Amino acid sequence: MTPNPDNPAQPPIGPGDLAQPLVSRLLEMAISTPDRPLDRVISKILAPNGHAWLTDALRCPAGLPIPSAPESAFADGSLPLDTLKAIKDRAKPLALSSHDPQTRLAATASYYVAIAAALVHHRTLITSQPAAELVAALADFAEAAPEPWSRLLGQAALNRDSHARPLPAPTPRPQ
Amino acid sequence: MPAPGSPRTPTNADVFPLTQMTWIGRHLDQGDPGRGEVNRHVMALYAWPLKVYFLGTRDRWIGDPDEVVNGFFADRLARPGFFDGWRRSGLRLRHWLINAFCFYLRELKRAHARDRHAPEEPDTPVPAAVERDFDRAFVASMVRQAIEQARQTCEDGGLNAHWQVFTEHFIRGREYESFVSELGIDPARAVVMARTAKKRFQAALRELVSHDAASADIDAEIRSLLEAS
Repeated sequence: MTPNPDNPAQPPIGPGDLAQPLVSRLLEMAISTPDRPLDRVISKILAPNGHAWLTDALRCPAGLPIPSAPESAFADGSLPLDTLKAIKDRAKPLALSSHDPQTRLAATASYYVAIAAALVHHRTLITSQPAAELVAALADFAEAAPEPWSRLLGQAALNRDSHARPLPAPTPRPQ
Repeated sequence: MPAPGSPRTPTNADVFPLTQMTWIGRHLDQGDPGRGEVNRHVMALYAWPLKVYFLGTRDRWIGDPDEVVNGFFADRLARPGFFDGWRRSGLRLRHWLINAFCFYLRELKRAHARDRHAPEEPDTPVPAAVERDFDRAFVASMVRQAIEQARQTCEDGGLNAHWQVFTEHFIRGREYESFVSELGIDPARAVVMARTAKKRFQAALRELVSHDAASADIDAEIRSLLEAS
């Protein structure tokens, strides 16, 4: 086996180096996922003015007014858990069945951001979505979203991914 | 999969529209440069599974596995009509190659017998386990190739760190928190970086699957590979 020129300490991976369960897991990764409502949110965020749209959509998430700017409410963790649950519960039916496409998009974004804030700031899982599905959704959302949303969603994906282990201590709230 | 010299015939699972064989067909239509590209692809992807197959047969006495497989490629891939035959066969490429390899082994045995003025070695059935090992080796080879291509794509796009995070988490199975500090990356950011690299890997693997089977339904092809392996 020839050495990896980019990293001499790390040899390239040969076919015989991959254990069968790993090969199957990696192969399975390539199966496409069905189109999710979140994918339309991601397309919206990646379109011109998408970043500003996301912050606007979170100013009154699922029609519920919040007492502060969305950045401090969700990303900094000032919203109590009950409020996050209420946002998530109202956002879900709106995301699925509102007649207005813009409302559906905003509700979908609010739904995931509320779940992420609950995971990160309250160490609480407020959805029954399967772990792998939720981690994939949060990570995809995080990849497209600007800061501070990307960090919040990425941390939530990390927390959910590590759910079998104790969740890390909540992020201290700014005084 | 056939015993040496017993060609596989197309089944419903093999048959697919010729127009779907886009990548290989497109390259073959480009003449010699495209043909060279196809040959390199075939050798990189199929050498390992053919070697695994050869080592599982009772024909190992024929010669060094690497030399036998390289000899096969040198002989068959140089034939002008080799891929046209595949395109007409309705077989998946790996099944076409293993058929050709079986015939090649038979030719080597005949030549060996002729050289020694000895009777030809009879064909012996290939154990089912060898067939399974070939399929597994093919899948492993394809996954490895996808890893290499995705690594290259990430490197070309300035995403080396993304690839490193993907490798550590998804291939070496390490938790993000256990290695991101070594890389100077925030764990939450690492999740996103791994996701970016994962998409490159998924794209590379789906493309490779399409080269072998070229079915319109890549997901179905992947599921069939999962069952086969």
